[in-house]
Amino acid sequence: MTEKRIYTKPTIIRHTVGVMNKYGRPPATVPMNRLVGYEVKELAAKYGSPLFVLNVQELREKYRDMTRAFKTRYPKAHIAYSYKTNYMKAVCSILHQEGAWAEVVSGFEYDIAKNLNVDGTKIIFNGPYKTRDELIRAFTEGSMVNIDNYDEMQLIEDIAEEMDKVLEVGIRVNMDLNNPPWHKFGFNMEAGHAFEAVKRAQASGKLKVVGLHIHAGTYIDDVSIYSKAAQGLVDFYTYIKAQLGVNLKYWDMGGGYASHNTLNWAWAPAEQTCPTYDQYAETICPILMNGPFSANNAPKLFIEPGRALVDEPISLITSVAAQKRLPSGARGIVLDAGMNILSSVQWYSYNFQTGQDSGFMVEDTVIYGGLCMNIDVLRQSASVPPVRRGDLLVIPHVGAYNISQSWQFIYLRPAVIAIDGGEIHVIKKAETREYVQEFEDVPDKFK
Amino acid sequence: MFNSAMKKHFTLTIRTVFQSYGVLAFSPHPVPAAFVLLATFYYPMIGLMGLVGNLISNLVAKWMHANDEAWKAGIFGVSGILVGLALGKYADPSLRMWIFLIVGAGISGVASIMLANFLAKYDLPILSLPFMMVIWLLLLSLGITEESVFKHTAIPFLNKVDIALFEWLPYQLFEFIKMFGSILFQDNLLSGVLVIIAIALYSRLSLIYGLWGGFLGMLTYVFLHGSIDGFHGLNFVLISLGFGGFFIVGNRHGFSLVTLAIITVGLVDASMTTLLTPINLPPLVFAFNVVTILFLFPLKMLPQTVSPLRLIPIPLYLIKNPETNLKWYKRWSGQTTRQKTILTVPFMGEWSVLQGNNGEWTHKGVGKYAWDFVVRDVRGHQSKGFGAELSDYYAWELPVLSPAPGTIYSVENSVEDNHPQTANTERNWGNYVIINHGNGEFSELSHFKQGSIIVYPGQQVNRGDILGHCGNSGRSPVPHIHYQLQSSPGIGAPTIPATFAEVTINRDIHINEIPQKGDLVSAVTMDEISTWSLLGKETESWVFQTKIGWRKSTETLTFSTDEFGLPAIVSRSNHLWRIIDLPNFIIIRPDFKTFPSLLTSSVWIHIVGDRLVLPKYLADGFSWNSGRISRNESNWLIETEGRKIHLTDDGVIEKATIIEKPNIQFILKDRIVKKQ
Repeated sequence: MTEKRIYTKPTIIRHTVGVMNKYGRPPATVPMNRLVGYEVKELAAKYGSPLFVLNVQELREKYRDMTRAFKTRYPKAHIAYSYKTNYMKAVCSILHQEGAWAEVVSGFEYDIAKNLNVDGTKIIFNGPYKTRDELIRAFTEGSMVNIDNYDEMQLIEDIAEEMDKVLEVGIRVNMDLNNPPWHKFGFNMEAGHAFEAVKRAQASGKLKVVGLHIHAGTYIDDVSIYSKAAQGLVDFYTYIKAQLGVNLKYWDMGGGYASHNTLNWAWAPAEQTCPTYDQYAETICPILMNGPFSANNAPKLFIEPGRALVDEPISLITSVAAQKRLPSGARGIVLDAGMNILSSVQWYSYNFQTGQDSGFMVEDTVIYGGLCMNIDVLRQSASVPPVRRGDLLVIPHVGAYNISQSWQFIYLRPAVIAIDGGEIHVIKKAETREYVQEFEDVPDKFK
Repeated sequence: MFNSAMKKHFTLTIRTVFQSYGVLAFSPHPVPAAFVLLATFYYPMIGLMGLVGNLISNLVAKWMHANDEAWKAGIFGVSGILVGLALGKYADPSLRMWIFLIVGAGISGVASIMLANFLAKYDLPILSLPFMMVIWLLLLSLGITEESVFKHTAIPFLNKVDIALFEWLPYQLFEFIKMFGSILFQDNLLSGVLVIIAIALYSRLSLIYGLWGGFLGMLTYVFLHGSIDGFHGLNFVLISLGFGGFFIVGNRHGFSLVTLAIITVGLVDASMTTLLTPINLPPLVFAFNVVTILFLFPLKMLPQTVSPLRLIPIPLYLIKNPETNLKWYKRWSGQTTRQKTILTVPFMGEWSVLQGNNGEWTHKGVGKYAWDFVVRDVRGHQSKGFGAELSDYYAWELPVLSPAPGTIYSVENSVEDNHPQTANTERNWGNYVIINHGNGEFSELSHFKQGSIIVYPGQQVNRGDILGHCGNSGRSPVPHIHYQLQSSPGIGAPTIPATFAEVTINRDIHINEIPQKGDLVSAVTMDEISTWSLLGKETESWVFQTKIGWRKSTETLTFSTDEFGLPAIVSRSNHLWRIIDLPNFIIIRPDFKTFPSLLTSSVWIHIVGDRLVLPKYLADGFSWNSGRISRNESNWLIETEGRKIHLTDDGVIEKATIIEKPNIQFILKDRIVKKQ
């Protein structure tokens, strides 16, 4: 019996084979029939589509690789995983198993960390909005709190007075690194606000500054920004040490490390532009090591990667709901996953790879999400081979933000599975209507 | 017009020149040196020639960048003096001879530094080898007249005394005393007396060895030649001084070795005399040089194992007089471990041992106590991709740290890095740093990236300071760090067994451990929660209620310092424990004099045993390979190697017990804070 060959519906399209742009040939498509050793088709059949798939081994390796890169250059470096990128319990748990500390930016995230039995002393509490109760809890449990603004400082001073002890705090600083500059978080260094903040905290007699935090931005593939930030921290520490006698217990380089996903406005694919962990570490650590201390008394260094750890180990399996010709002649396909579970499409040009054997003739295709909204376009133009309704597409590197920022809207959110050493674990079940409506109520008189 | 720098230079040179005379009689000290100097001036002209030779030889060595310490010791002038004295004895005094002297002394300066650099690797002395290399050349080209010594005028008065003594003393005794002068090629009694005085001033042991050497030498000579006629005993004196507690420790085995060496010298000298007489060449100090190297070389190459050796060569830079050498040996051999340097790993983060001690490739023979470290990723690879570029290797350019405090001794920074999988076997060590730890131990780190070393000789470094960056220079196919601890500063010097004082191996913290091939190794970094240490409690004494079986007593531990000003614990003033300060731990170790005995009522001796390891930071649940800390209601419990130590919050030992010996009690009774 001969195998059934794949049929492509006849269309007249302009052939572009052989035409190269300045970066080379147009991308060829590589089918991704298997994920972590499992047939994509089987996974979708068993756990439904769409489906998030976590490669546990890859996640662990990423963590260890990043640790190696930083610790071989700054022995007291610690990774504090940025919860907001993906705070699924299993993901955080795996990283804590590896030794990661937690970086949380809200009371909700703080609670998640505590629920995972993370010791309070291994939680860094950042973010521009922390409530009084959350702060009291954080200080009681020994967490590191980085102050974002004067109102918060005032609040913490009050708490210190209430607790009747001197509280150790970190100060969040910012400086001109990007264009436009990130001035939202913390106190500005160039304008002298940061120095004033440290001075005020020290002078209050209720706070003791033991940490500095800087966050250079997000998805920074230009390492020179980190070298500026690191130098900024060193200069600032040197200054406050001399002027105010501050002795740091830790400094924190924040997050922003890039992953292998091409930005919408990028000219070259991420594989060529995304720095390695070693490159980030080589940029940051030697500068910090030159800080105002002897080699053995270096403050702890925190880095807060999120995207750089969890983006790549997670893929999304989705299936084609329909395909159509647009009036422009371009092909369009509609997927069963929308931007409600792929919010990062506003930043990323994801790759769409077929989950089964396909023809070779790729065609620029508009990829629509399944939401009933005109804006739900997953990619304006992707090279996709011929697919039919029910065919599977795999979108790699979707681990960061998509799950934590997903929204409900008109569909139920899909399941997340973790594959580890030949075993499949459902780490989040697909949602049900009952679950979504659990807290709703219709008073009797409305019935 | 002297400026201060020139003046300093001048004084230094004078001192070195002076010192060289002392070295000549194995008495490197200014006072004996003065006597030796006097001894050469029996014939003032010959004495002057010796002085000129000395000065030239020393200056040439200085000009050729002699190692400063070696130069100050005066070893580079010895051959110059001997060239002067020998020319005085064997060559006609003339202008031509003076030119020969100047040239000869210059060459002997060059030969001295050449040999010193070469022999440093084996920690062997240059002796008067440079002199032997030069003097035969000079004599053969100048022509020898045996009688030329009589063309010099002795100081008339001394000459008269000498003749009078010759007639008065028995012939054998006269020859015996004269023999000591003959090490300076002097043939008179007074020089001999002066040299004997010099030796006696420097060391009584040396004197005894010297007299023994002379006596046995005379017997040997008579046995070999049938009579005392034509006796020249300089080699006997030199060999007995050299081996008599100077180059090797003067224990009873050392004495046997001296005896054997003296007889060997007699044989070598007799045969050389027979061989050289037809060409009218004196054998001079050939026998001494050959026999010394012959006997010393194998001893220097012995691996420094932990069990004590019988014949113990003394590292050259440590040599003092035989008495001091003996003291050094007693102290050194009495220690439970030889290693003095507290080592931590010379890198940041986690590295993997590519080749350990006794490795299969290069860590063999005298170099066997060494490690090669590389960085591997989670999959065990040393590089990303195929590793075709040096920059693909994770270890490449990573910082290399000082494993212990010390002074940079030497640095090589100019060897080119190899391409991956190729090695430079001509300059095996590549770019290296040698650190002098100031305790007789030296660290050697190799294969730095070309030009990456940022320290310079003479610079003080602390533990953990960055020395340079990892490279691929020398015998290094892939970027890695080679580390060894060695007993002398030369490159390629014999390694000594070493452990890392505290080290994380495969994620467990170990104390005094030797990482093995394949181990993942990193420094111990603790996140200090609460600091505690016995250090810095010099103002306190703690009184304990003790009990062994039925014997109740009290014992007072006093925190004090030992003779080096290092922290120690003293009990009953005759027991002493040193507190060894590691970065994150302390080890309490008994002094080599502190042993338990039936008469001792000290319980602390039993509690410490051979060592007691305590962490410096108190954190609940913290553990290392042989202990752990836990927090009770109000105090801390440290379980360490079968002992349980209870601590109060402010770090006072409340109670100590030994699991195996439940009949021992050790409970805090009182705490005395001394008034300052």
